[in-house]
Amino acid sequence: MLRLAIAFELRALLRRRSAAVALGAFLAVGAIALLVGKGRVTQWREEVAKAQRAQDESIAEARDLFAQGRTSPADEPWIDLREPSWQDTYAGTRVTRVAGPLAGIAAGAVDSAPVAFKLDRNANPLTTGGYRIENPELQAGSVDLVFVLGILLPLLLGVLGLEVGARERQEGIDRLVAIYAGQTRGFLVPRVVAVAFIAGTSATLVCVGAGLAFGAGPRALASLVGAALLHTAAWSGLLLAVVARAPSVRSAAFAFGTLWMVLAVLLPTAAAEVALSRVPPDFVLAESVDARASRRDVWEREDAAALRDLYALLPELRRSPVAAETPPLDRDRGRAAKRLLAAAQRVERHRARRAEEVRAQAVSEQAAWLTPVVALGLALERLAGVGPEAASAYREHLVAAVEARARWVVTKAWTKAPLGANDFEALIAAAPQAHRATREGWSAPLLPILVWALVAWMAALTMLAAGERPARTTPRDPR
Amino acid sequence: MTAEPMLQASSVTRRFGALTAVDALDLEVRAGELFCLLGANGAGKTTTIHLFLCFLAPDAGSVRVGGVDPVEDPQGARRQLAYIPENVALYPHLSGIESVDLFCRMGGTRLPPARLEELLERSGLARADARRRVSGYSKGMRQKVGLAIAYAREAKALVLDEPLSGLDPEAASDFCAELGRIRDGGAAVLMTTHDLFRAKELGGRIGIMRAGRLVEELAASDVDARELERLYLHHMRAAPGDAPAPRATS
Amino acid sequence: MMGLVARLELAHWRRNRALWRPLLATALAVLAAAVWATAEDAAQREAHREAANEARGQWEAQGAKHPHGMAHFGDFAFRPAGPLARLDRGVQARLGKVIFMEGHRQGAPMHADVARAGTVARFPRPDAAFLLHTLVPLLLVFLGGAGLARDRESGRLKLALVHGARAHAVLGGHTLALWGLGLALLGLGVVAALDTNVECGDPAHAAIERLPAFVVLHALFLALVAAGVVAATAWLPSARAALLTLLAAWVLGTALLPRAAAGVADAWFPLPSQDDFQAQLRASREAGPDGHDPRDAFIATRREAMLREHGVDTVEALPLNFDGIAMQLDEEFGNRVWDEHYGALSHQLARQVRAVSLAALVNPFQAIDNLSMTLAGTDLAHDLAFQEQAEAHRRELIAKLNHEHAYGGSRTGDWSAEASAEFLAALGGFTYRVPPLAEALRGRVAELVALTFWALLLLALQRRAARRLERGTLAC
Repeated sequence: MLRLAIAFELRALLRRRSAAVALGAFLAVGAIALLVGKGRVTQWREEVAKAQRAQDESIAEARDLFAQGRTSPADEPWIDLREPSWQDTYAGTRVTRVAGPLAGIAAGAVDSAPVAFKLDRNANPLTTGGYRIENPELQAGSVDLVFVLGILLPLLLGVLGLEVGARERQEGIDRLVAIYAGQTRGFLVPRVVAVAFIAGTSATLVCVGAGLAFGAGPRALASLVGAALLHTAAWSGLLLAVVARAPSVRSAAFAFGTLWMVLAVLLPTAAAEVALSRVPPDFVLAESVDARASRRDVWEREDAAALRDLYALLPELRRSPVAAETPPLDRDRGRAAKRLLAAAQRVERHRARRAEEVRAQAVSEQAAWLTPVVALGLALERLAGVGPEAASAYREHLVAAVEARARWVVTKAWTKAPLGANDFEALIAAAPQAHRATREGWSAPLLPILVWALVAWMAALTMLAAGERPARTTPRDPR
Repeated sequence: MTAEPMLQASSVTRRFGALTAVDALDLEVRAGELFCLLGANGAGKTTTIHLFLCFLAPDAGSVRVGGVDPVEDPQGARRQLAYIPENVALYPHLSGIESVDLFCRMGGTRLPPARLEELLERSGLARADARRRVSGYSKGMRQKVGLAIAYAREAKALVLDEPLSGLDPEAASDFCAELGRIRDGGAAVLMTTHDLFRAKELGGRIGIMRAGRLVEELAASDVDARELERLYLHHMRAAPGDAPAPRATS
Repeated sequence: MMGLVARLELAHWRRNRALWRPLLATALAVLAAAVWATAEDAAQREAHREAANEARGQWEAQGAKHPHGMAHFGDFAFRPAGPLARLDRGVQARLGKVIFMEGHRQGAPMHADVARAGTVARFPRPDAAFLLHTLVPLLLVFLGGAGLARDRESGRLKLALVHGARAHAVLGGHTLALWGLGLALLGLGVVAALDTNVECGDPAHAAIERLPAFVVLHALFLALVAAGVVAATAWLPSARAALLTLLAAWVLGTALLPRAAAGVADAWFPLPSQDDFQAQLRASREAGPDGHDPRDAFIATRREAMLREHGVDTVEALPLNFDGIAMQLDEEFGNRVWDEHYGALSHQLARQVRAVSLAALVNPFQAIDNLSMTLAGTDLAHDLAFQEQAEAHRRELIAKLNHEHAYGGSRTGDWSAEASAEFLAALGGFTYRVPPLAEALRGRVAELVALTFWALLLLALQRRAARRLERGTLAC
């Protein structure tokens, strides 16, 4: 019966203009999503390459100076490459973020982190934005695979499958089907499976296109296709549940439209509202006004107090020659110490921000149980390695790197020994690695989709079986 | 020897809320017999048909299709049936021949195209029309496709729910001729209709239903058309509980 | 007659219990969104006041400080909510809400809400406008598609026409009923927002001057939706075809075309990357004076001129602090560089917005979306106005601090001299002035034209359908 249903639906697809147009539109938008994603990844990689070039130029300049036995360029005599702060500057370290093989599938994700960060003792990763300058009026309408598979795929299923069962009932074909197939669901279920097969094949085509366009490996591609097919299964179950009882195409369209509106539009927007309401409406005082006050507090701190805090942070410095000296500190050491204290404060602030981000992200994880659309979005963003979680993880990597660099500068400054080319090379060698987003937890949101699929299919099949029994209005006479 | 009853209703009652649509109905249609069920709108004809087709379960009494209880084994009962509704609704994107093929395959039979064409020709549909999409068919053409589907089924019983309504006289005449052939082939045929003339012409037995009860059952050969009309009108106008209409002797 | 048809339609909705659920659900959704968004808007305004007070308190608590130290201490501009943000929050959540204003550099807005709200922040926020632009038209499509189709398929339309009813009155009646329902939902949202606003103790932000325009334009939009639904049902051969066409139009208008327009605008008028923009700024900036570099050639030229002007040989002998002059030189050059680069960037942003505006000519959903957020003051244009005002404030603040640095009584090289606490306290904080409505709407002419054009076109199509129904050239 399944082969018969697939052949029947394929024929319907070729002969029904609306179905063919919907499928064509789906594939066309899918192709556009791939182009948009490809463009984003290209831009990302170009930014990383530019950052890498800038770092290499800076390092080459310093190496050249060392090779010439000089400590500063001729026109900038105040520079002294023997000092840790100048070595830090000349290292020109760029901590980059590697674009994963599927980074282009979630181009519409909110990702507020850059892709390359200039690391030095004074850098502030908490005030950086994304690598793109974005027009917010355009941003709200990104075409990516999350949109195509999350929002459009259910619509495609609707256009292809709303007439299954509903049209039969509306026009009375169901009675013929019931007589000739023995039971209506014998033909109806395979037809919905056939519709899911057509929609799933289209989704797979788009995913494979993404894999080819972005150069994803077989595992990443299989994960993407798996997520898309699971989502297809969930929505085809919902479709079957709708058409199992709908008396007409119109009522099926109304029911499925309502379901789509609720699951794909209203619940995600309500979840967005809840998530945003968890963000304190305080104009980020912790990172603006409070951060300014604590920065000033550090910079205006008496040397003795600053040293006390510094030694609490780096107890090993107490054994250095500088520790024996009485304050005030010289200018460079004073600055280095205060920069480290400021970096340490930043680590604390980032911890608080991270906790806030985790709380907000928990809303997305909870919303994934409410609607498969959010669950799919979450899974695809994690697969892509972009989005709020990836940005937050990268920012954490940067905050730690800046603090480590500030520690290095202070530690070297406290040795009081002039640095050389070897120290510079060691600094470069110890520069943090490029950050690579893990795909950790990408499959967790698939569980809600699986539950949706199972519940929808079970409910639909139960409804169909119940509808198949000859209708009774009064209990049968026991005699 | 009398043939086994293919369609059998014994003291069947079916209610919809307070309304009793079928009331203690006893009815039998045997193999090779054609039974026309007459009655006004709401008399319970379609409910009776639906009881045999397993779309409804009786509230009391029992229904048998070829000895099978449709409530216990709907698929077993339906396997023995072919059905033609008042409006044969078909998938509009399929052609006539594809429609017959589809319903055959639904029932687990696969017929070669030549056989499908033959069935459609036998039901009176022109070869060229059989390849056109059903969306452009008239009601009569769709009824012919329905008939072809029924032929293909080679069922032991054919149930028809007002198949003549809306057909032009020529189409109705052709249709009735085909029904006669099906009956002669040994199938039990149960048909509801408002067309007294065709009911009489088709022969077999005629039942008149009123308010869910079979108030008259007679052989078509026992009455002429005028007498049948008189009987019918008498039953339609009579108050419940009135005496049966006096039968004119032929 | 038109009124009678409308009343019949309303009576049908009232009597048909199956329709109550979607009607009530939509009304509740609009009500809840309006109440929630307004309460949230009031909380934002309160938080804005608190943040501004906190920043100001910190500034004033600095007491007497070196003016250039205060230029680096900086000030904050907090982006206020749009005047009608409670009805349409537009793209506010995607906009940076804090600008740090300090010497030598222009601040970019930071800390957009969406950046802190997790994965679901990619979805739009529900507010009354969002529901009026998406859910309400969908409801009208389902109700309206059924109304006329029911009349036609049951033969009532034929009967009415045979008995002398005018087709345009029948179609107009259906349109009127749908429009009335839309207006009721619009009114519900507006009244709920106003009430909640008062309940939240924030009546000052009623933004009364923008509210009538908001209501009028939404009423126009709802009228065109109602007319479109009835026109499609009249023109298309079956209720199914009309429903399919209208749903396809809805999906196109609300989901596909806006994204396509955004994609095209982004591709045609690409924006530089953040790094490229900053690198270009840095490169241009390096070609000018650096106030902190005593060896800077530009500064040196000015210093020589100043020494000649005052007839002295050393900067220390000048009756002013040349460091302040140098800082202002640096600042002014930086401002010119910023104006050039930021000007190019905002020009490109404006071209993108214009491209999307042109796309609104074919998509009334986009037209109302854009117009609505402009009226609410929650669009990009209002944000750019905020940024420009913040930058103007920064320039004024830094210029005053540099002036104090230069002419406040200290001598060149003296980094310990302090500006008085009174002087610093007298430097006012940033206040945002909402651009006048007419100015805001100037960028949305295409959308205004689009809404009017579509409303007229659909009404004309409806009239033509009515004429053809009466002549029998359109199946009834």
